[in-house]
Order: sequence, then C-alpha cells, then structure tokens
Amino acid sequence: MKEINQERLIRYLIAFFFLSPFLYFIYKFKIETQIDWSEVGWAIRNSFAQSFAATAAVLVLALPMSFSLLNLKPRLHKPVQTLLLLPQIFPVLYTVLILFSVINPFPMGNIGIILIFIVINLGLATVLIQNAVIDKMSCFAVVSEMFSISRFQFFKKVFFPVLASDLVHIFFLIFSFCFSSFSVPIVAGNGRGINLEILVYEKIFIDTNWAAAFNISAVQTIFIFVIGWLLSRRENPVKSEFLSGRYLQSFAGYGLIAAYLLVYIGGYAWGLISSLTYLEFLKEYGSDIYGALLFSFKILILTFLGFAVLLYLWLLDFIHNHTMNLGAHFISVSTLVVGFSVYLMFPIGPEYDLVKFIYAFTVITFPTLFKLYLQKPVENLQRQILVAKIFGIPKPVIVIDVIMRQISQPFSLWISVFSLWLISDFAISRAVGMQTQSLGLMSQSFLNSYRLPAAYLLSALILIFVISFVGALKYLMELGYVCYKKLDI
Amino acid sequence: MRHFIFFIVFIFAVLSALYLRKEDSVKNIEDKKIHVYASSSFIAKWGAGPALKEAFEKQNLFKIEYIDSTDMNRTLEKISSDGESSSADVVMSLDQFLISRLGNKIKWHEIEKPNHINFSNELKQVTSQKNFIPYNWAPLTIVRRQSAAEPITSLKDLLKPEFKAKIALEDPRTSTPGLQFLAWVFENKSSEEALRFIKDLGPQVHSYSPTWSSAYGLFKAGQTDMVFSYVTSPVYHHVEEKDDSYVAVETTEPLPVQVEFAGIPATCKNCEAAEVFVNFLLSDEAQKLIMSKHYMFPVIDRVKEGTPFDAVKVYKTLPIKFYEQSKVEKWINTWSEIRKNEGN
Repeated sequence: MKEINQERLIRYLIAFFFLSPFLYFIYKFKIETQIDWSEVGWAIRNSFAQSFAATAAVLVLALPMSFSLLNLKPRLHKPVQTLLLLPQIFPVLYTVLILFSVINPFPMGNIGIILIFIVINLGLATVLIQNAVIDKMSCFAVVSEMFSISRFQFFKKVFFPVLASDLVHIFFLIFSFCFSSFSVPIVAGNGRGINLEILVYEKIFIDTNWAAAFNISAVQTIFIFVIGWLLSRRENPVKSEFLSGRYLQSFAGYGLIAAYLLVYIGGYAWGLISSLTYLEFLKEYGSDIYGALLFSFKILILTFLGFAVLLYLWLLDFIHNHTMNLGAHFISVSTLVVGFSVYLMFPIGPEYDLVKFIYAFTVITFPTLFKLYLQKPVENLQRQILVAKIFGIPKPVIVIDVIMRQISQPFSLWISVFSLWLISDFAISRAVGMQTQSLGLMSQSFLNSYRLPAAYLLSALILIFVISFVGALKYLMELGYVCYKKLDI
Repeated sequence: MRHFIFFIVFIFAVLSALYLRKEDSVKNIEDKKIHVYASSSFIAKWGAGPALKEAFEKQNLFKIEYIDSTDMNRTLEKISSDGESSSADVVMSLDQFLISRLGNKIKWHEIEKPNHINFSNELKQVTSQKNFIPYNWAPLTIVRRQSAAEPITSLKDLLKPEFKAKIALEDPRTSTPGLQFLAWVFENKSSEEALRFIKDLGPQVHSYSPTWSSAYGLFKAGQTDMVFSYVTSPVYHHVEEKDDSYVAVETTEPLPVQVEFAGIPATCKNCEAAEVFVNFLLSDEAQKLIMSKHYMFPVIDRVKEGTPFDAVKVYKTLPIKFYEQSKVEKWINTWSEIRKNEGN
C-alpha cells in the first residue's frame, strides 16, 4: 500500500512540476477564458500551412537520406550521423545566417520560413527514420529481394505499412517543432508568417494582454498534447536483428546527404574560417569568456543532475505503470509563457539564476528530449521490464541494469543534444531574466551587436566544450557502473 | 526508494541552510547598491555601462549593479508585480515609444534635474519631463553606400523600381527603430497616403528584421542596398573601420528621432542615490562615454565638440513627442494587417 502511494506521488509530482509555471501564471494574471478565435484561427492556419509543407518536404527528402545513412561504413556512420543532427541543435540564427550567405537574395516570407524549417529538421528526420528502419525492418528487404518482389511492391506492401506509425510519429514531432517555432517566423517571416507563438508575442508586447497570451499558448500546448497523446498509443514490437538490402539503398540519398552537409557544415566552416582573423578581438574578452565558461559548466552539471533525478523518477513511474506519464506529451511548450512565469516567480539577481534556469530549461526541454531520443528505446524494453518485475527484481536495479545498460547509445545521444542545447541556449536564459553571462548568452550578445565573427568563434568553443564534457561524462558513467557492479550495490 | 527521497531532502536542506546564512551578510552590502535595469547592449562590455559604472563608483560611495533587462515590457511588469519589494532603483534604455506605451504600468519618482544643464535645442520638447532624464539621442534615416548611383531625397524615392527588395527595415512589433519608421511615414503623410505608401513599399523591402542589428547585418553583408538606421551610423564606420563609404540620406520629410531616457521607479530603495546616478548621466564625462560607446548624440551639445560627431549634419527632424499609446497601436495594427494580407 505504502509502495503504491509512493508511485502515485511520483506521477503526480511529475505532472505538477511540468504544469507549475502555467498554474503560477493563472494565479498571477486571473486568466479569463475568452479567446478571439478569428485571429487564433488565422495563426493556426498559417502555422499549419508552414509546418505541414515543411514537414512533408522533410520526410520526402529524409527517406532516401536515411537509406544512405544506414548503409554508410561504420567508420563514417557515427560522424555523419552527428553532423546531420547539428542543424537541429545549433541556434536557429546560425542556420539563418548560413542560408542567407548561400541564397542571395533570400526569399523572405512563407517560402523562406519553410526553407529554414526544412534545413533545420532534415538531418534529425533522417536519423529518426534510419532508427525506425533498423528497429522494424528486420530482414524484410533482403527477403523481398530473395522472393523477387519488386522494389515498388516492397515499399507498397512492406515498407510503408510496417513503418507507417513511426513515420506518422516522426511527422508529428517535426510538425510540432515547426508549429511552435518563434524565432524562424520572426526572422524570416517579414511580418507575414504569423503563427501561434508570434501571436503570443504580439499579445504580450503590443497589446500587453497577458491573459490572451496565456490562452493562445494554452491552445497551442493542448493541441500538441492531444496529437502527441493520440499518436503515442501505438504498439511496440520486439526489436529483431536488422539486415539491409539493395532496396534499402539510395544513391540519390548519398547525394542529398553530401549536398546538405556541404551547405550547412560547409557554410558553418566557412563562417568559422573567415572569423579566425577575429581571434585577437576575442582575446580582449578572455576573462569574460572564462567566467561564462565556468558558469556554463556549473549550470551544465547541475542541470544534468536535475535531469538524471527526473529521468530516474520518470523511469520508476514507467516501470510501475507501463505507460508514459502525461509529461511525455508536454512537448514544444511556449518558451515565452514558461520563461515569463519563472521570471515573475523568483526575485531578480545572479543568485537566483541557477534555480530559475534549471527549472525553466527542464520544463521546456525535458519532455521533448525524452520523446526524441529515449521514449522509443525505453518502450521497446517493456517486455523485459515485465519479466524482471515478475522475478521480483527491485525497480532501481531494473532502471540501471535492464534499461540504462540497453539504451546506452540513445542515452549518449540524449546527453550530447542536451548539453549542446543547454550550452548554446540564450532564449530560455533571456526569458527567465538570467543575469550571469553564459556561453550561449555571450554568443547571442555578439550576434546582436553585429559581432558575427566572434559569435562563430564562440560557437566553436561551445562545440569543443560539449564534446569534451560528453566524452568525460560517458567515461565517468562507465567507471561508475563498474564500481557499482564491483561493490554489488 | 526511501533512501533516495531522504537523500534529496537532505541536499535541499543543506542548500537552504547555506542560502539563509548568506542572506544576512548580503543585506548590508545591498544598502549601498543602486540596482540599474538596462538593456543588454548598454551593459555589455562594448556598451557604455561598464565604463559609466567605473567612473561613477570612483566619485561616489555607492556601487552600481546592472540588471540585464532584455525587454522593457517584462521588466516593468515585474517591477509592478513585485510592488514595494522591487529592487529596481533606476530603469534605463527607455525611449519615447516605451514610455508612452508602458510608462504608466508603474509609478515614477520625480527627478530633480541640475539647473545648469544646457540640453541640445532639438531636445527642448522632452527635457521638461519630470519623471525621465534623456541621456542620448539620434535621428533615423536611410543609410546607404556613397557609391550608390540612384539618389534618394524623399520617402517616395524608396518606391523606385531599382530598389525592389533592396531595403532592410526593422519589424515594428519587435524593434523601436521599426516603430520610428512607421512614425516617419505616418507623421509625414495623411492616413490614406501612409496606408498606400506602406502597401506599395512591400515589394521594395528585402526584410523586416526583428532587431536593428539584424537589419544592419543584412545591409553590411550586401544582401540589401540600404537600411533604416541612425544618422550617426556612418560615424561608427569612420571611427571603427576607417571606412567613409557610408552615408546617411537627407530627405525632404523631417526625420524621426529616438531619445533614450532613464527613470526612477517610485518603489526605489536607494532613491537619493538613484537620483545622483541619473544626474551623473548628464555630466560631461558620462555623456562622452555614452556617445563614444553607443554612437549616438550626447544630450548636451558641447560634449561633441572636437569629435567626429561634430561633423554630422543634423537634418530637419520631426518634433520629439511621447506618442499616445492608442496611436502607436493603430500604426502597428495597420502595418500588421497590410503584411498579413500581402500573401507570400
């Protein structure tokens, strides 16, 4: 009985944690439920059109790219996969700058927005589709070849039916990222690409109507929450060994990967190389950068610990209930609303920066990161968890020995993306009114003050820092696990 | 599980104890601090903030603590929400639009200005304000390269076919220079003419950037031929880059002017010290620092004598005023409606 109460408590605590900024907002602003549906409808239509067009294009391009990615030699596979994820991880401004330098004049407006969405999400979609193919395609492609089933029939009868739920799931993920994006429509929309998040912004900054802003944000969050919840009710087949085949190869995919990386990574590398002359300027900021680096490191460690505790509780809850808690559908929430709520909740001052940032960053990014990288691998272990429970293995042991041991690869990807998002973040830091300079905030200050080369150089420092951190963390975690086994805790 | 919960509770208890212990010693230091809320660009290393702090602290016992205020709307909402417990002593980086739109969110302390201050003639309309002190200003216009062949002498020249998709402007929803552009149009034209002009301007505009710096970045990167910026922008290129190829255009229509102000919230804690600080902003030393770091005109004319700013011609300008909130909202809504209906 006591155990059951504890488990329930965890589930309620997690839900309360993710809802708390919104509850505080309601308490502070006495929210009314009136919504001007005509303007919300306009924004939804706009958001929908942009997001749908971009996501459809992303999936069409990502399919052949994913085939080529999974057939890459092991030596090349990992670095290429990491590079493909960079556009999703890097601040949007870099993508915008790279595209502006490649496409001149850049088509501002809806086309520009869609183009930027495609570039940002294409690499991620490629990796996600590749993972789904490896998980579900087993040896179907080879068997189809052996039985002389044509390539067309294979895709029609086997590939798409088997992967349908995953493709819909990936579609929804990319769609929700585009749907709730703020920075892309504001930078490239030219005042035309009004979506819900921009409407929230307009309500706050033009009409100073916080209640309306909250209502629109709630509409957006509920919309994504409901779709996410509906799509999450899918089966989780047992993973079997994957065998590629001729049907799962695409030469066009190699070309697309090469072109994509050439534009993005090439554009970034070019920006970086041409910024090297700016090193002297950056030296003047040596002590500031050192301070920002130390603060970023502190915040990274503490947030990681917070994430680890939350993940542990989250997994305990999953082991107990066999379903993900509602927080898992809490993706793409409004940074503006959560950030402002946290901003009001705490006094202003450097001494509150850590707690404010960790709180807001966790609420805004934890569910998205979990859904992107860990949810599926964890759900795939459901039967093993059930067996472990039947044998009476304690839940903490299930978390460490059954789950964490088997999801080490997606977990390290999760840590990498988490670290890069955190270190290069400036949007959440600004939204909560952080006063201490972090690397992300410095980088944005350079960008905002037209010191672009300095921003490029700083982004390289962020990359090196994150790679070192992730490497060290993985080593320490391995070491910790060995000690844990030796001590037989 | 019980051990885990105990561990978490223990960690939080230790951290809370450490924090409470620290609070007492912090209080004494707080009494000597002036909390100044200012924009990120002001308090950045390249901004005037750090140098002003150093100069002020040399002359006074009080210490300045800057609070980075990215967005004035949120800042004033926070000060209003905190009420008497608010720590804000001074709020900087306010301009005419921010004051007219958001100034009434909180009550302001009356500032006693020194009598001997001789403000620039252009600022006479706003210096009688009792709650705010101006500390820099500059008119805005189109900035372009000197080599550009096609002349621009009035707003309507921006509609020339040669300039199609060549103008970088700022988004008035997110940027005050963007609002200044609307003021330029609406204050120089009748409502119908202004409406038509903004509609016709659509194809000419390369982009409405969210900030002045991103618009200027596009211009510098060669994506556009001109940008809406300050008449003092060419001075930046002259001083920092030794490049004299940029020019601020003079038009037949008077130019809009941006003035930046500092104010003291009525809930200030160190009100007297805050007043000393805002008056310090009007000293020659502070004015020189602000001018040289922000590339804006000082509010006291004599300060720019013998500097590159002295050579900048101040074109005919619109009267500086605090526009009514409803008027500004109407401009933005009109602009938004036109943009929304322009299709792609």
